[in-house]
Amino acid sequence: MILLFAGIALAGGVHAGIPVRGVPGLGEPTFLTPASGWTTEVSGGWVRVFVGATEAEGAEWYARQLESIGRPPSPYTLAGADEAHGDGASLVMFRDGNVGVVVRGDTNAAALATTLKGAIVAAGPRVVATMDVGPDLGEPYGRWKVSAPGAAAIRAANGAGVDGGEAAFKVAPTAVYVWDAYGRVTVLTP
Amino acid sequence: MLLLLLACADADLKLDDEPAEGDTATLTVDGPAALDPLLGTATFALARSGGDTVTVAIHDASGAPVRTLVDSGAWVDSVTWDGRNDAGALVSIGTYSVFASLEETGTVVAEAATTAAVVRIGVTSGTLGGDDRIALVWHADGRRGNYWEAADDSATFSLAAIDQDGVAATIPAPWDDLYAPPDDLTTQNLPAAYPWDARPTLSLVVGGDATALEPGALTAAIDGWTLTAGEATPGSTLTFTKDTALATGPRVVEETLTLRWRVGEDDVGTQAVPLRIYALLGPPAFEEEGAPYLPWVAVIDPALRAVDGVEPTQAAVISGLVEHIYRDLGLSYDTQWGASAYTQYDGRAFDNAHIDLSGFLDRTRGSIVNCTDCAAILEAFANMVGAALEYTIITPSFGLNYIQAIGADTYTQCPFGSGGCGFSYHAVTTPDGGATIYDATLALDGDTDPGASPSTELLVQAITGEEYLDRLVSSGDPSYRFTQKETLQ
Repeated sequence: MILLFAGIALAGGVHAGIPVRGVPGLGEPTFLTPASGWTTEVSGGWVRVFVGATEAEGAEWYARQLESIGRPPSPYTLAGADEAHGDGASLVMFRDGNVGVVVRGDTNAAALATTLKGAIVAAGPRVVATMDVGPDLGEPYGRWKVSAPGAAAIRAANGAGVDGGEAAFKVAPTAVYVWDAYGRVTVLTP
Repeated sequence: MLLLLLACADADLKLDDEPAEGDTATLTVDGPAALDPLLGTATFALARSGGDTVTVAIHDASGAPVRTLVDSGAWVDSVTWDGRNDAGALVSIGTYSVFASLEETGTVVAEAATTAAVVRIGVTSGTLGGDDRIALVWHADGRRGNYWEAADDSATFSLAAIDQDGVAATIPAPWDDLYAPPDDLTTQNLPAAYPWDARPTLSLVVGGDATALEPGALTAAIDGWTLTAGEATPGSTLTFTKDTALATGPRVVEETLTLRWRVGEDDVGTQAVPLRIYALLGPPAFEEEGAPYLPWVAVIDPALRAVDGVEPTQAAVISGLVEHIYRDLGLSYDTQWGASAYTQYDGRAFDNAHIDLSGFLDRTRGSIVNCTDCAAILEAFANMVGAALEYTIITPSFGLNYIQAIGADTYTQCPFGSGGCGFSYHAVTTPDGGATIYDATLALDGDTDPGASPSTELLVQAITGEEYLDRLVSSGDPSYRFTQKETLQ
């Protein structure tokens, strides 16, 4: 599936991201906060991916990741990455422009990191997300409704959703995070 | 309810073989004033003098016999009626007479009767209430978008009807899926939560038909609870208030109440009302509001079981949680990197810790954790059971005395192996800005020389911030910084 991606990303700059589904070896994504990115399990560990709006956001996320590891890793060489750290076996983390990745595996983190580096997509269509506020129709309709065709996931901070699992809320969330297929996030506020 | 006592000499009886003068036969029948045939049976006591056989039959209000319990049979001291006629069908709601006749050599020598009202009574729904009730969250509701909140005034259980397939409907056992709520919310029995010292109320909606009784004749009682509002009349709501505090401290209260329907001193029937109530230390103590910051059933159920029996104080509860996380959850410290699997800092430096608690509960990314994870887990558990706790970061980097990391079986100064004898930072928790420390990531060396082997296990349970650093740090000059509440999902 990687061959079908929209474009080939060059090192540095702002990329669309990494497909949240379809990269071999990755499990089902869990979407965290806009500042954390998304994560998933892999054999023997986990992967963490962040797609910033700018290269500076990517660099800041990467610095936070590096700082929060109890035993600071050494620099690592990963072709095409702006910066990378780890041992190649159980940990490889790298940043390519606005995209940051941490691979915490068991024995071959480098291979998966290389796969993820190669999976970075240069450009792709963004999800158009809107939130409409309508009359209070109560259950099961809600008042705040999110429209985001093609979104990979919709997550809300606070608020109360209506029964039925639709992106509709009877109590307004403080924010709604709309994730697209490349791990970019759009934040909506009522 | 002795209604009739006739001696054999009564002229109306027209006995064929009257006994000799002075040899009077007597008969009494006594029993409950009402019967609910789907909740129980009615036993009528018989007493006599004289006679040898007895007949007992049930008659309806028109006098027609509907059931023969004993037909000129050998004497019995009591008979039991199950509210059915001779064909085995339940009789309709109404007033019935229990006629007994005493015979001697085939001749009736005495008769007696009493009445019993047949009713059908039961609860159709119940709601645990009171100002202190705390809303609960099931965090893995796929149909409704993760969090499903049982509001603090939502029904605890409800039944479609008081009867089901010809028998009394049973109030379901408390819902025991800790992750997801039931698909059908209308017929389940959901747990509720309160502070441990609350006195919950239980409101029960009464259904059925008790028209055969005088208004006010039917009452209801639950041992240990006092009826504080309502009457036991179909269509009305009974409210009971617990006589004492819910519990003596934080724990899971699992109790089956016996609801007794009564007329006078007689039990008409009983219903079992199973309840599961989470007795928390207090309301959730997060800074944020909304569903993720309410107590998750999947968290508080095991957490409260783990701290069952501790004093209802913040220190005792958090200490119990420290031991629970350190010993019981199967977690191990990441001795390769000290990397967090479930928690990240969303702000600059160590600000805005955010834990994927849902992922942790499922162990989606394994059981290898670091201090950031352990602090976030402890903070989440504590705040959900009502013990306020924040995380705090010990920084900058420092060398270690002897510690035993979570999941390890030996003490070491070098949890990362040779060359890895310090932490670049360390996350712990505190309720008071660093004055008191709790830490589920590691056990300290509790003896007089924490920098030397052998070591004595000291779990980090309400240790002063100063002592904690003294025992943990061998070199460097770190301090507590970035103290704040986490966010979670």
